[in-house]
Amino acid sequence: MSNQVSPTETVNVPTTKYNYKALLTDGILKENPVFKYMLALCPALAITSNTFNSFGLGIITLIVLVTTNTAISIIGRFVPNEIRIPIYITVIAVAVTIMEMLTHAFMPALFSALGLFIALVVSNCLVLGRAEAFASKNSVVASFCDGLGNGLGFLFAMIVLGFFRELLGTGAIDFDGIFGFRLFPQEYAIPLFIQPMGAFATLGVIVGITASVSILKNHKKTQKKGA
Amino acid sequence: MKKVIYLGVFLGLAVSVATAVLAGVNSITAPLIAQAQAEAFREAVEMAFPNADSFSVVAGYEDTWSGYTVQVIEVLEGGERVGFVYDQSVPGFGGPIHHIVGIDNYGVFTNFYVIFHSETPGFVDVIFQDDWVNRIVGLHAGSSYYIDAVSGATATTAPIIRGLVGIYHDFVERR
Repeated sequence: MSNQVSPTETVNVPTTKYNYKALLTDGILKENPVFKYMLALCPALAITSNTFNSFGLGIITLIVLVTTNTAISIIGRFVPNEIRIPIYITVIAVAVTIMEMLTHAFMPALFSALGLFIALVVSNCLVLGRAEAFASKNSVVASFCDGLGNGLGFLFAMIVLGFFRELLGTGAIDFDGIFGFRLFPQEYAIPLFIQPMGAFATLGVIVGITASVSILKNHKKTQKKGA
Repeated sequence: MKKVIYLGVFLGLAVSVATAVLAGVNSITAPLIAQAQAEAFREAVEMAFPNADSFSVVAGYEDTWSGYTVQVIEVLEGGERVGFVYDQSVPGFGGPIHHIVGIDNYGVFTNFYVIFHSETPGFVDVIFQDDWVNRIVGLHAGSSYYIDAVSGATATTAPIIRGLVGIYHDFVERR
């Protein structure tokens, strides 16, 4: 109980030695926020009907995660404990609104395709979760790496979901005309995959595969230890 | 009491800084957004009648049939009227859908272009892609009653179709 922070105190950043490589890479596969922790499922299910939109929202969320994690790590120690959540949400809302304005001004097609989901990044539990659980209690560099690692993990999940849904649902990939290919004729495509139900099916299969791989790895590790 | 005032002032200052930052970014992006929307509008109007040499607004009204806001632009080519462009806003599921519709002297839709919408992405992807739009372009306006709605997105397609029927009613009177 003696270590608990009282409501009026601010948080002191501990002088911990960080494993920066783990902070940067764990979020991508091992601790993927979507495939392992089922965070940010709303955009992951709704937006991923094609690869380009998935990539767009993934990049926006990545930038928001990195900037808010860094900003909250800097200001976290000066913020009174009882108003920390409103302050964090203000910081996140500012970052998201700036990204929304920039997307509207410089990438109107992407803005039109993503619509409400850019503004909804404010309520993305991954962003507030990393701010509260990590950035507010750790150093600026570590928070930057944590934001980048988790952002890359979210981006990876979005691209994987978008890629498989678009490919199976249309038979082709069209990355906004920048690149693309057709794997099989459209008449053999399964439109269900670009419908909302297809999002649940694709996510379920990917989560099943990642969980099975993780269980197999743990099983092998246990066997090695036993031997 | 002192503590509450301190927290209130702290929160107020934080919100003031946030507002100032957003106002700064908005002052940079707002003119760019307005310019891009004007450009999209001009392109959509020109796409409806690529050979036209004059566009002039002839009417603006609230359509009594559909209840939607409409602006009518007369299109001239070599001094002759070749059709109209309708600048229409209809209420969609998530907010207004602003679109441009071209219609020639024979009552055939020459273009349908959505400038802005707030519909739920994913659900409406199929609507604003070529397949559904191509059902409208080339269709006689009198047949717009027969454009299919899209299952799962009827709150978006129904007002668009109502708007098209409203355009047809106005076109018949204006012709």
